[in-house]
Amino acid sequence: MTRINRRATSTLTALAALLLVGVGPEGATAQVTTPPPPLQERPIEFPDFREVTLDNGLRVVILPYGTQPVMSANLYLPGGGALDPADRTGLASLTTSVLTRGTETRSAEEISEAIEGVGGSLNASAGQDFLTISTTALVDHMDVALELLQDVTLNATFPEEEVELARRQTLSGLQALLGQPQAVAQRRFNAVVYGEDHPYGRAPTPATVEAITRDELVAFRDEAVHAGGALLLVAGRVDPDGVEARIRELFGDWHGTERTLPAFVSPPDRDQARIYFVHRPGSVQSVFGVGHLGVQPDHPDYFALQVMNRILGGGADARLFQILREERGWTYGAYSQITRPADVGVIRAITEVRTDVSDSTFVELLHQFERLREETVPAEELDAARNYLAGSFPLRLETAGQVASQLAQNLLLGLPLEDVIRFPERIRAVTAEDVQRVARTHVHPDRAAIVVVADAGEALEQLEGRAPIQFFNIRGEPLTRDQVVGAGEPVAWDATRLREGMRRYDLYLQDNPLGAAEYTLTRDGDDWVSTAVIQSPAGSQETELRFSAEDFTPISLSQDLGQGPTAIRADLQVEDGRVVGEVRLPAQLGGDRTLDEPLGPGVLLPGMEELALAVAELDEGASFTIRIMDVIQGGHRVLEARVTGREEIQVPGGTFDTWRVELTGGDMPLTLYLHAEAPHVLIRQEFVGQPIRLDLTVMDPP
Amino acid sequence: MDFTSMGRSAAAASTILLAGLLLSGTATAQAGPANGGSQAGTFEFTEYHLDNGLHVILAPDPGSTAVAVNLWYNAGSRHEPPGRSGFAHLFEHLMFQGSENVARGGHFQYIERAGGNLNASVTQDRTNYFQTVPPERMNLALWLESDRMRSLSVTRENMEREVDVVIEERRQVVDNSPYGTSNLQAAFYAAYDSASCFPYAHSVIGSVEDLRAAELEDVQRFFDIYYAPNNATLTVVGAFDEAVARELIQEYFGDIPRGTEPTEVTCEEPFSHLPVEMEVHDSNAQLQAVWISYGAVERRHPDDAALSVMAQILGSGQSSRLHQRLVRQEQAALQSAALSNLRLGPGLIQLIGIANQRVEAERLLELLDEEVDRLKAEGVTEEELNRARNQVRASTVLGRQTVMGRAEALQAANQLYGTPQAVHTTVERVEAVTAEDVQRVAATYLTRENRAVIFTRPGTGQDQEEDR
Repeated sequence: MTRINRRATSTLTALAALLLVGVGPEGATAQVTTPPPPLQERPIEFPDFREVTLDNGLRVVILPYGTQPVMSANLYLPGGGALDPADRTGLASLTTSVLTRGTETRSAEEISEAIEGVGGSLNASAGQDFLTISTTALVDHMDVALELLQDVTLNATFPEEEVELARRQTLSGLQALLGQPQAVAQRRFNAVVYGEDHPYGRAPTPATVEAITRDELVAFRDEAVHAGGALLLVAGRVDPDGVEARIRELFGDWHGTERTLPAFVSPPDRDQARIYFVHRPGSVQSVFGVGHLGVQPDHPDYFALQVMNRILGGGADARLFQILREERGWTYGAYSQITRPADVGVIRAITEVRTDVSDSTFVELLHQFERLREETVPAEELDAARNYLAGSFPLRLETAGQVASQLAQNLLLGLPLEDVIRFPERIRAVTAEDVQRVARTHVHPDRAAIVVVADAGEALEQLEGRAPIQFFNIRGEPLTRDQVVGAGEPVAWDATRLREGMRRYDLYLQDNPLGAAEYTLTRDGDDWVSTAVIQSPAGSQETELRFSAEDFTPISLSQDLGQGPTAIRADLQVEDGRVVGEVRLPAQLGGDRTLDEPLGPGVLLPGMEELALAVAELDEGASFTIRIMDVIQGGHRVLEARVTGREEIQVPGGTFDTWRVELTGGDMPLTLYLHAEAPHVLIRQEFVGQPIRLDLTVMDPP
Repeated sequence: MDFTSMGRSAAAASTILLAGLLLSGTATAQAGPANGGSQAGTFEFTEYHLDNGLHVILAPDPGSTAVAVNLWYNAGSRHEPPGRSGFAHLFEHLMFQGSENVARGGHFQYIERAGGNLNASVTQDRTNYFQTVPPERMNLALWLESDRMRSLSVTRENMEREVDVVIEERRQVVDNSPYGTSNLQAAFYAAYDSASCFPYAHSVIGSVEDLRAAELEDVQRFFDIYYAPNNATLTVVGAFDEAVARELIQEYFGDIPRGTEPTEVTCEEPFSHLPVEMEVHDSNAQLQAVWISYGAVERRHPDDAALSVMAQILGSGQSSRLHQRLVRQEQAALQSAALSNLRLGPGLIQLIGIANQRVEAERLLELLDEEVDRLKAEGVTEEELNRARNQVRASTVLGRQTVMGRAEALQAANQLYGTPQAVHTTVERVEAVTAEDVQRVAATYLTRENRAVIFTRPGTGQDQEEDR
């Protein structure tokens, strides 16, 4: 341990103190070495507020509070995005976007100039369960703010051009969202946990936003914006009598009956833990969202779950952060959360880690879920969690806006206000047994949804085999595994690691010699030239490949495989990034064709896979994708090579230390034994499931 | 940058992630001191120095429910030499690795278990450490800050793990995040001349290579030079008794020895390399974007307020010129912003546009240039000036609702303007700005020769080749 001690640099001070006090160095100064006990507590009261209901059903709460001359007014209307029809997802959101953009007496410009002219703000937005129209201003300008709030609430006109502008903005916003891996992860998580039949499981798409008409916006507003069931919360350094009188003037004539909201459908049951892998090519982290459904908002276990959540991942002094960041250094942050919407919420852990610890993160997150069920929380940890939650209560009473939002949540969800005011007591009543009981009841790692947003090329291999995997792209469209693996970043192969030479092999069928092969690799100016000649009862096969010695770029391929009706001949050149030439194929494979198609980035010509592996960084557990042009079907195939072990093997050419590599994605799976030292020369090749193998007999130079 | 999580939003608003400002649609400069002039947003405070040079500012307010303990060290990324970019920020992480009487991670355990919250962040100019605690735990926060100012304990192992954490932080906010790289180019690399002004020409988060190269000896050196009481300012704001606070501060901090005065970095001709134009291929971004950084001046320059008002009129809110033109009239941009990004050293005026789908970044540049030309030719209206003043006044008051908002305002005023008294004059300064001032600073700074232009292209360069 390096102790960087300022006193060490100040000998004189230390010496003087020593002389004065006459004790050892540790006691040499007046330094306080233990945390001080708490000062005297100051009594903190939950602020008073006024609650009235107007004749038209509008609930009004006025909270005169705060040290600065500011006010805010929030109008909440039941029924948000959850009421969007499935083919019009985004309807509520688009409605609120246009709500502030034109009334019977004001244009969009006039509205923004009026509110921003006094330094205030006016916004409308749609949550899942509520629409919110809100304004903030200095108290001097409260009249302007409240009057504008009333105007957009009662008199919005939905001008056609504003609808189109908002639509365009929404579509660009959806596009921008695709660039944010956390947002992509959250959408996928909601979709799988709630299912696409539940409104919380849906999210707007370009198609649903395009389909929305202006008439639908007006109809949605007509249904949603009523005094009945609405809540208006005015908070700040205001005079409650004056505010109430003004609200009665502005909103007293507002009509409307309370809306009956449809019941939610049940989300799907989960039978087992599953991985939902969202392939994001180029991602340099793996973003995790792990969890499942939680509880209804009025569930009596809510407070115990809050304590549990705090222990699991509710801050820096919680298990996920302590373990994933402080102990392991895998991430910048790891947290958990318990949501509380109008219908059932979720319990979820979230983190972003470097891709090479995706497997460990998977294991650790589920283990921490399990631990909550298996272990009783130690007293110190329980105290830490309760003290944080209860102790931070005064910090949530700093501003009128903070207090108002706590009141609003309980009023809107129909929960007792006493739960807000008595929050510290509710928290302090939670015991370790409560935490374990609610964990056993509500936390289910064996049924968790594990959403991972990452580059499959980096992270997938680590997760395969741990749970069933479904694949998606960032838009949420399902993919097959092949599509995902084929989409990885191309690997750059280092052609400078190759060496000139000749190798001979024997071909065996069930240990009986069947034929022989000879491979050569020679340098020709700036190129490598590789040849292969294989003699077998099926006839002779000859291949000559030419590629750049600088960067492995393919230059040409001449191939002559087999005789008779199944013979394949290819004569291809790479010119300006395109592969051109003739391919002669058997009739059943489509007959002869003239090839002229682009060679994608990192794509190699057939036969180069062995050369790519010769220069690869082989190591325990390493895996590579090799893109090989498909001269028969067009496009390219993605071969996957995975190092599965190290073995010493004996072949006629000698005994060699080798890496065992499984190569899949080609015509048939192969097991290759490659020399452990680079270049990784092929020592033995087996055809998985077939009694055929190729063994090295001669290598020159050895 | 940010240390804990609570502050995801704080992270978004930090200087290396201007996109956070963009998303929230505000266009005021970072934590620029602002104040409510005649009455709004003002508050009482006292200031004094301990014998060891620690600058203390106390703002007791019996009406608060909490106490902010906020410590600024005059140590930022500008103090990093070449090859050590990111070190000030790494050091900020190390300040949570334990001190003489506090175990590793103990700082946030103590604070959170007391019901408080905490964080720290680094800019070019300073490093701040801050906690908000219930009133009865003010002493705990003060003691914790004093213990790590006095002595810091760092092992090689702890340092290496924090390097990993910081690299993940960089991946999260830059490498895996849309516009992260463009942002760094616009705010640092392309905007400043690295040869003559390295202090501002490199990013706060630093490069992975430099972070990996950090040595334990660097930690000792940095601590000795910059983490001395005479290089720090402590503010305490909220529900406390001033006499008690004074006594505790003397007890905890009074015997920490003074350090040598650090020498200030220099930055001459930071913009002599301009103009610059470049492209950034960003596989995280989905929409094209343009970033324009104009070379400007330091906070204390007389043009400071006029530049702030200009940025406000150009880019703040839906009624601003850029929003009206780019977003509404032309429907070319999803978002637009203008930032007056001034600081202790030479600052920037930044104009930013994120394009709508199927709109090229060049089109946004064209529109931004037209608006700048119009501003230079026609100036601004009295109505626009008034709106800007009201916006400054309101945001000042809103920002000072919390004890931490007030503590930060005092610190920023103290560092950037040389006195915490500047919190009282923010609105005055802005109200003194005339239409002629705005037109003049636009003509002076917003020129084609004095800027770096960065175009963000979604996708990797390779994919674009393939598409063609």
